[in-house]
Amino acid sequence: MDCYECQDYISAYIEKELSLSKINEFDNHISGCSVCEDIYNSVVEIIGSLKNARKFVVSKNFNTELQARLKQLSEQPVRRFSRYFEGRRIFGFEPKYAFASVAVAIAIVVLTLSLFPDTSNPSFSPLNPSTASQEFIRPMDTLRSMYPGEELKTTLASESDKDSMTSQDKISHPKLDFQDKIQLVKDPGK
Amino acid sequence: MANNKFRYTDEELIYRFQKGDEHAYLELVNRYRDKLMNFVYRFVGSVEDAEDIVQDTLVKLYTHKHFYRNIAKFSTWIYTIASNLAKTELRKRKRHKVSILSQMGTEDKDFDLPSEESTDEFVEGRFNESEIQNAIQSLPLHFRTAVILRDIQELSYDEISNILDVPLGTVKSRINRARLQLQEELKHVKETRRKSI
Repeated sequence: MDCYECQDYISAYIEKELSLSKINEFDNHISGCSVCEDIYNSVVEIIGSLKNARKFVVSKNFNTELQARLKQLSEQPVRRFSRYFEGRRIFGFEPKYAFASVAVAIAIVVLTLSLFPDTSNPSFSPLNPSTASQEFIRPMDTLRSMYPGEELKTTLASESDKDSMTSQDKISHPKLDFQDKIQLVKDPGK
Repeated sequence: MANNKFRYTDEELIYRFQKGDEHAYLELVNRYRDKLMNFVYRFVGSVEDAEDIVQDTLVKLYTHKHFYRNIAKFSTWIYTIASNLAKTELRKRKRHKVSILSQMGTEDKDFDLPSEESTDEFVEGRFNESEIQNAIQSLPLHFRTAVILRDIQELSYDEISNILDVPLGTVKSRINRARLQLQEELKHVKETRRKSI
């Protein structure tokens, strides 16, 4: 047994948790190593000091102060809701953590649904002319509010209109260009 | 100890308290207030803070009585609460210390020295109270908790393992290393004392 091992075993030796063979090894090392012997004796002394150290107790008015605090607590109105969940567990969690988890789960579901449109609903399809016109003409309302008094084109642009458009018109009516493209896709013979 | 036969165990008392018996709570307070006070004082090193933490622990026992489940010893549960509150207090103090130091000059003294008048009593002629307390305070938190629970509160290794929520082997290793560190710390104290004589 070397010094490191001996020092590792000091507490186990004091608490009588070592096997007989280890006790013999420990004793042999201690008897030949003054450093480890000193450390062992100091540790024994410290354990004795800690056991006999002064015991601190609470002050005399401790119970009175505690009672005052508890009285103050009991006078606070307790909501019936929190009283119902007092001491209960929901799926093994404390109520506040259970409710927080449910709230987070709901938030994740709502966010996910808002990011991905419902493609299973055929009426929402951008290729459906009726809904497409509703969906894509709607930004014109915004444009009207931005340019009150100005006449803005709300009908689909024909090829001739498209030619006559200035570059400024194209910038101010980006949705019309987009709709035109949709129309072309729909009717490849055109 | 014939009375022990008729004495409720801690677990029976907390059960009765959970059923609404306030006397059972009072009995638990009387059994644990001083034990907790001693433990928390050794941990935080301030009598006033220790008493506040013990109050908080016992208030928590009152308000969270239903959270105790009869799968662990009551003492383990109450020591866990006290230990967690003491750690929170130390963290708070650390933050406070940083902000105070950033505002004040170097002449300001450090805070939370043991304020008891009789802290210099010698313990069986070995080390005095403040020497022991200073040595304990010099230990890292995880060593400090383990050695206080073992050598001052005299709890079993199993109980300490449950309170700290670490394996038994880790508890034993921490206690041994804490004792070696205390020995190192107090060796210097002894040498200084010898030189002064």
